[in-house]
Amino acid sequence: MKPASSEVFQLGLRLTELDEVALESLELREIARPLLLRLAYDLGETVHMAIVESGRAVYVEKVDMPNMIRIYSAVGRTVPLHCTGAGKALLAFSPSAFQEAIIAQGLLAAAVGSRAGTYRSPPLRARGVGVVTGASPPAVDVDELAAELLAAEAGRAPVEPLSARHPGLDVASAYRVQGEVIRRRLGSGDRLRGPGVDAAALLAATRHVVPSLEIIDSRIVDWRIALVDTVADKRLLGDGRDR
Amino acid sequence: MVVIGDTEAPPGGVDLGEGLRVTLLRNGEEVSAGTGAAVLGHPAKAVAWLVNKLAEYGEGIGPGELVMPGAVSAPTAQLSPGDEVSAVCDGLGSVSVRFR
Repeated sequence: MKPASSEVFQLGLRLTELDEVALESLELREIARPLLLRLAYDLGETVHMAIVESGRAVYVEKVDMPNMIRIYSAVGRTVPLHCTGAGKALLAFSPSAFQEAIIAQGLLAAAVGSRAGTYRSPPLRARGVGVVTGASPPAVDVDELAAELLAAEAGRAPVEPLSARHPGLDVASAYRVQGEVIRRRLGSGDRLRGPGVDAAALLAATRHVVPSLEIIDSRIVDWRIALVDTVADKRLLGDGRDR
Repeated sequence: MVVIGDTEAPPGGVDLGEGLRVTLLRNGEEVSAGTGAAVLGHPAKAVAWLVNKLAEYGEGIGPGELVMPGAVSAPTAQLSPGDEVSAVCDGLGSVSVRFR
């Protein structure tokens, strides 16, 4: 970052490539920190400072307020512009050509109020406030991630961690991605699907039946288990590791 | 963990419901018994329920998948090293496992 004049600053660094050490030395943060703190205490809310980098918002500083709704964010993390508070504010004050370019990329379904019209500049800039309802991280595109993983598998080319690139990827969405990957791998050809499958249809689709013993292993005493006990206790899986 | 027997029977050839008597033995002594009817009335009904339930999640079951319909008896006594446990399924064969 180079001072262009006494009060105007020009960003001259590729911030996405900065590690924490580099960020620590960033003058912008030192200057902004007292202002961010005052904002946070005045508002009683978490405050982020972000810049635009490669079409995304990069958090460069954050002040967390205790006892407030925790926001899933971290300095150095990049998030989409169109569905984050900081991103919307940055978009609102960007040239309209840039706004249209972001919109043209396609907007991932995310936080409420992320439709194109809500952050094209005039209304938002006039109001001076960008609002993201709720504190949810942006939703992930399950189909996109599944396709990426399958392509990585097919091309034997590992990809960067999804977690680093998709802050909204929580465990539940990761399972949805996994499900989609499996679904695409297996194909939906001759799978037996409901609704309306009865015992006769089920038997007609069965190749053979075989006697089996299930080895179970419970951490709960005396077999007094409810459904949630079973689920929490990894479905009574007897994997031979517990002796 | 599941121990699978090596006798594969076509599903149409044997009564899997009330007529399927399963005896669980521990070191040769009977510890419990039940019939296929203990699995929601009939194991095929249980798995049909599963398939219809999976449909709510856009899922189904596919070729080559092994489905456990549910057990015909409650768990037996706790196991100790050296125990051998067998299940004898009338008309279907048997399966056994020994623990070290």
